[in-house]
Amino acid sequence: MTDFQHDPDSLGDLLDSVLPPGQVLPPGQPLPPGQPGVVPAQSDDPLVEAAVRLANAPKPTLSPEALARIREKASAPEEGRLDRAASRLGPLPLGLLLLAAGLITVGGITALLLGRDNHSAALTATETATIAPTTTTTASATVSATVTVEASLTQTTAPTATATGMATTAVPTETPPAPSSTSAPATSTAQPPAATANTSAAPVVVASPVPSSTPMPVPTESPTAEVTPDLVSEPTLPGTIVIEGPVETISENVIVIYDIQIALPADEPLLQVVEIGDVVRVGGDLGGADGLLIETPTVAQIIGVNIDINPATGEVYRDDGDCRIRPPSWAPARNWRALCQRNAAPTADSSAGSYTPGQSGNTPGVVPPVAPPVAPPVAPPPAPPGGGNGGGRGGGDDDDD
Amino acid sequence: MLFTFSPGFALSSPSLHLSMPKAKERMATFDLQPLIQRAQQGDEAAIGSLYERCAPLIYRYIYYRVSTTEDAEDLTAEVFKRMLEGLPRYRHTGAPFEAWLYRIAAARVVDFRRRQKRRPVIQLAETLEDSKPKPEEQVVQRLEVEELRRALRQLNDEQQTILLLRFVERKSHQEVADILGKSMTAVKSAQHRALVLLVSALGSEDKVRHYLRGGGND
Repeated sequence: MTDFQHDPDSLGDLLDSVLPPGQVLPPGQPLPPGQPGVVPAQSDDPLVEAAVRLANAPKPTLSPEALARIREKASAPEEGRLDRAASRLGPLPLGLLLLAAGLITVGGITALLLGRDNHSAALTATETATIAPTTTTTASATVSATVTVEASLTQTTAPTATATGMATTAVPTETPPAPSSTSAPATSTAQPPAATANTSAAPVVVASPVPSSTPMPVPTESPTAEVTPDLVSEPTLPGTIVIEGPVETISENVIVIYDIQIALPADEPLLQVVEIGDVVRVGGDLGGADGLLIETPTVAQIIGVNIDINPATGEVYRDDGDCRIRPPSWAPARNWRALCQRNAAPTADSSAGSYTPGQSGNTPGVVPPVAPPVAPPVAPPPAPPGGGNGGGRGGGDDDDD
Repeated sequence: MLFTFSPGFALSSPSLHLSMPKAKERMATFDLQPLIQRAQQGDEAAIGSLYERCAPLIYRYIYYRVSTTEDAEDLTAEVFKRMLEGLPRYRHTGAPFEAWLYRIAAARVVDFRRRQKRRPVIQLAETLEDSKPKPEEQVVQRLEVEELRRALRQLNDEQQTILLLRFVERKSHQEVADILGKSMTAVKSAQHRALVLLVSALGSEDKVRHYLRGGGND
């Protein structure tokens, strides 16, 4: 029996000789002139036999009717996915879909909003604000909590706010002018899109009633909802927001996050230890003099950093978790010795760990109660002993399967 | 620019499609560049001509990879819909125009199978259109094609494509390599593996074992 073992090359050559490329002829038919041989009806070699079977199998052909059917299908205009969804859902459900997407997008952010005096008002502000910031950052989301947002569904009469269960006052009103005072109330009421209903397909984003001098991330995209500053005059209810983000600059008692200036009290302990790049959460009432967004923060903390304040002396200890600074005696140790000295290389001063020289006394890292308000230079922290979590990323990222 | 097939282009000469000579099908492998350029400029006749030349190839390719003629037609339509959409952006890179269409077709088939996994369908009996042998021969042919299709579908996408291009479309190793963007050596290796698997899938296990042992001693 023939030896059927081939390598890929020899098999390819054999197949080329048995089934010359370019020939689509019935089995047993002689090849055209210049192409010796015939298309074999079968072969002893199982691989060649399989190839011959495939080559000799009846070929499906397209009838003219089938060709026309395919052409018609290919030429049929295809509705966009959104259009198809709209046609299935109708205009109102599509609007709800878009609104739900907005709610989901910033659902977590809205939890930062602090309703203080009037919960229903805050709820209204919170829920309505979720429509606007679909294209903005955390800061913008929280800022836009000061306005009422109403979804303007094209050619529909049902307000979206009602559909989503928001507290609304279903009174068609015209859009009032934006308040000029920076102490404008944030309390708002969702209104149906009556006077401001936009008949165009793309709803318009209307400006928010915020102090004009305050740098605000402006919603530029997501033409999914109309934001109307429709305020009910309740000037006694200030809006409270929380902003969380990296500190960009520090100037005396003013820190800047997302280009938003936030004035902290001059005696705010956080000012003693905050550094540029720290992720800070600041909450407080909206509005302030000199273009400040928050003048009197009620919440101020650095995320991911432990700050301890000695109530007796006002000393502040900042623990970045990198073993750089040993906790003072009055501060909680947080298992510092076990975490930071266990794997440290033995030195003459074994208790030093990764102690940073140059600090005074036995409380390195403790800063005096009144620290200079200028941001200290940020030095890259040394790698924690025993490896940290900021090291190599490990493999696996190149998996392109 | 949005291209569409001119309503009358294909049916203007139905007899042309009834016969669909093999030589004309093979023309699809010829230089289509002038035709493509005209099609890109919105020449409906050129678009229609491209469709006429390439549709049978793509349909055959898809036919072996799906279960029903209806699915094959639908997917072929999807391929040409994508072709129309992408034609303005198509740039000749040296690879044959068919390569682009085959890639679209392969992606459509994969997508179709993914959908089928979620929504299995009952396979209906198939008939081969345009084949008019005697009824008993028709049955034999149908069984043969069905067995081949079933066996082919047990191979992976690339293996199926290689075997179909090589033995149904009778393309050379080099042409297949150009279409797949692979080296000829890679195509030969994949062809070798694919044929071994096809023999196995066709139920010729003993032949495969015999083949793998080197033959003759069994």
